[in-house]
Amino acid sequence: MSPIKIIGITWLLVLFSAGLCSSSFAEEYYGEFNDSGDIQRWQSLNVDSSYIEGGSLVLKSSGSPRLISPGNLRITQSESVLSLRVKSSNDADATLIFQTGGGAIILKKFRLYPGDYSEYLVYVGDVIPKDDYVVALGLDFARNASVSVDYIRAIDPSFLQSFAAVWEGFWEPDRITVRTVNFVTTPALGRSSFLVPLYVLTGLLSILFFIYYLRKKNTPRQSVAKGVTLAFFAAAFLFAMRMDYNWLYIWSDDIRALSGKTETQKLEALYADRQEMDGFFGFIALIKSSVPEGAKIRPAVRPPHDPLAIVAKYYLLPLKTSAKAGYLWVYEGDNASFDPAQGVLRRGDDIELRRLRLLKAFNAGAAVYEDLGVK
Amino acid sequence: MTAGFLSILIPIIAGFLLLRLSFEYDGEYAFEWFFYAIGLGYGLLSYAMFLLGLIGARYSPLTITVVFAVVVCIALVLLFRFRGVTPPKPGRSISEKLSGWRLYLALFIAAWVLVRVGFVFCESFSRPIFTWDAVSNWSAGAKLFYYDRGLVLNPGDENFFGMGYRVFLGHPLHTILLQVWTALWVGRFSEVYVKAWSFFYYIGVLGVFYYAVKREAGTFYAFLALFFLSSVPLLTYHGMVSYSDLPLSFYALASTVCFFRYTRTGNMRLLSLSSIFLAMGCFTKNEGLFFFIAVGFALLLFLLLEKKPLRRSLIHFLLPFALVIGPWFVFKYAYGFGFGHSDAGSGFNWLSDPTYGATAGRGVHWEIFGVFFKRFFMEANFNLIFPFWLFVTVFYIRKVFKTDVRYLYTITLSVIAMFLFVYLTLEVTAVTENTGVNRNALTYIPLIFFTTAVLCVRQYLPSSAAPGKACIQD
Repeated sequence: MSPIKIIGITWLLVLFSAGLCSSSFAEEYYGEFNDSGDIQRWQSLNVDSSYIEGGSLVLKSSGSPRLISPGNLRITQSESVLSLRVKSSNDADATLIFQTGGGAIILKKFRLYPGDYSEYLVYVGDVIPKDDYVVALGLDFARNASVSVDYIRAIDPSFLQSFAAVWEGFWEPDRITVRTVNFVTTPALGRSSFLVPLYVLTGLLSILFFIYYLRKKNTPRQSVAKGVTLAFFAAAFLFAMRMDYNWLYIWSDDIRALSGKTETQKLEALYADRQEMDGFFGFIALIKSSVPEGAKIRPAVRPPHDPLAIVAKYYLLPLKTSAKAGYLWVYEGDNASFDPAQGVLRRGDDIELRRLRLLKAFNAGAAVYEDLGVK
Repeated sequence: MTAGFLSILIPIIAGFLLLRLSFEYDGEYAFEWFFYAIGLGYGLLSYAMFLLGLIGARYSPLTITVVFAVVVCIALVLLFRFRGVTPPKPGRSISEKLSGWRLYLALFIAAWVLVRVGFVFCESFSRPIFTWDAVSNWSAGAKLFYYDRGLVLNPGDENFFGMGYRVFLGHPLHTILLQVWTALWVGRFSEVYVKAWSFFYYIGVLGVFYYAVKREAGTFYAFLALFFLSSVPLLTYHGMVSYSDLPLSFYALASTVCFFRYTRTGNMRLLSLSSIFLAMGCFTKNEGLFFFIAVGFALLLFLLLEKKPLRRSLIHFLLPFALVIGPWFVFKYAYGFGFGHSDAGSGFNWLSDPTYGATAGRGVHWEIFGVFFKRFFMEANFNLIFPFWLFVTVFYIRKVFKTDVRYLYTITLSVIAMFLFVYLTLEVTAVTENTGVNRNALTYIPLIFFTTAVLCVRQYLPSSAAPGKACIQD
């Protein structure tokens, strides 16, 4: 039998099996929002408003909207695919948060694309433990101004559905994050690194090339060497295709997000997924314009090794940060309040600093002060 | 913008002139020196800036350019004083004329690689410094030195030598000073342009690698190898970020290639150039010392096995290294700046990584081996080079021992062994938390590609070399 016939018959068998498998699957609707206005005890957090419109739950937010399911779900590992129909205003990652019956919290990210409704198939069989089940499900739509959720379903998938979800996850483009300097994200095929199928492919191709070279009158040793080398080349080429697809996607993302912008606007765009950085660079500019030349500054309540304090120290230059500085800054999240009459900065009920003078306020939570006790 | 490009071009042109005056014209490979010039020019520039900073002079484009010119002139004088062995006339070239499917495949590969380079260029010149590690380890110090117009060496200053801004005062200054240099020319500390050197080191690595393989295997296989090296995702990313591992990759590769060419030609200038690149590597990252030790070890092996006189070669190897890195090591010694990353500064926490966890006892952490191999065999940072390298090494182990590839293996395996020693005894979390291990590997990944390429060439193109004999080019 010729190799072409063998490949053809094998492929037909695969399709036939896939067809058989696809006939047996069940769907469980966990969030099916419809016009009746019943949101089935799902809770929305971090939202300015949430309402039902056109059979979808609409979340409007100036931060990161969250959707939390009731705590009586029972998603087992057999329901290994989540199907979500979502419309998003931003190109951002969404995070699925699972709480299991055993008390574990498991996270899984997937990418949301801006535009009209899209159906997302997310393979979750790799994160739900075998001997446990999910009792509650949360969705964190990072930095999305507006999200509409039509439905959230858990599916006991057919072969084809499972394959589609795994395939979708495999081609999900990566982003550059602060950790990319240490490693790139390895694309996954379901539970395993995509290098596993590449190794399998390398093995299969090695056998084929080995036979080919053997028939070309090479010695067995030569055939092995050439066969394995060529198989590795083929696998490495596929690797390059997948990873370069990432770079192309990132390139087009960055052209959209960074071109024609000032350096500060670019930094704001790169830190867009971090809520604590909202307005941060405006605040840095305000500090620089307020503090006299030659003076030094320090964070009023944050410890020197606080991540935001370290970032601020860098961006504040040429204004230097010093423990003995005569100027101080307070930023959102410090939970500090200033009593101008007494010149006292409080954190909760405790007095943190005395003899301060407000130099300039950025907003209710962020300001620059002069420490009158420092000469 | 123009000033920014000038700041990039001045050191490269100076490096190119030095190299062109040092080595005989070699038509087919004339452009090769451009890629070496990137590292040489930048290295001499930061060396000049460091010397200038040591005497407390105020940094400005003019003062630095003058001192840089003086350093280049001294290098030229030394060059003509200590003339090396004249390299042999170019021998048989196997850079075949491409035709048929090879031509089309080479064009396809070249186009693909160009798209990658274009991507890195665009990202490098549009993204601001973003990665936190880059800011804390390198750019914070650079920004401070830029605004202070010097190395802040007044003993009473609370920001002495970058204290309060630089995480580890023992970290070398090469990429920090390159950022200061560009900022001085641009007139501000531009978060985008000060890291322009990243892109140039990226094309430097690709260029040096391409020509090194081309000398061994010809144009077609050089393109093929270049395609796979440039497909390494972590290398691509480091081409656009201001981190020091890529420059160290460059110096490691350039010094190894020069050393390898020295073993085949006997050209002492190549050995000295290798040594200079190693010194520049030490001024880029502390790990550069590993490469110096490894190449030194390979040199000794070569001299002993080939029964060559030791003294002359060792002088050509040690003297340039000492001249270039000496001031930095003396400075480090004088101020007590170490090489480590301990929580107390630049010291060492032997047998206990403070960030590894309270329950981890003191000792050699053998448990990291599994994770170490998982990083290289199951993650997507380096394409499939590690399994392929393992395969060709095992399969052609006799070739490894019997041909000149053994010197490349000596270097590569020594470096990996030294890194492993550090992970086992000092920096366990570099492996377990996936922080330093891949960046460290990036510094020797081009070496592994080169070693693999040369081994394959020795096997599949047996006419390319006989053990220990000069051949092909040079």
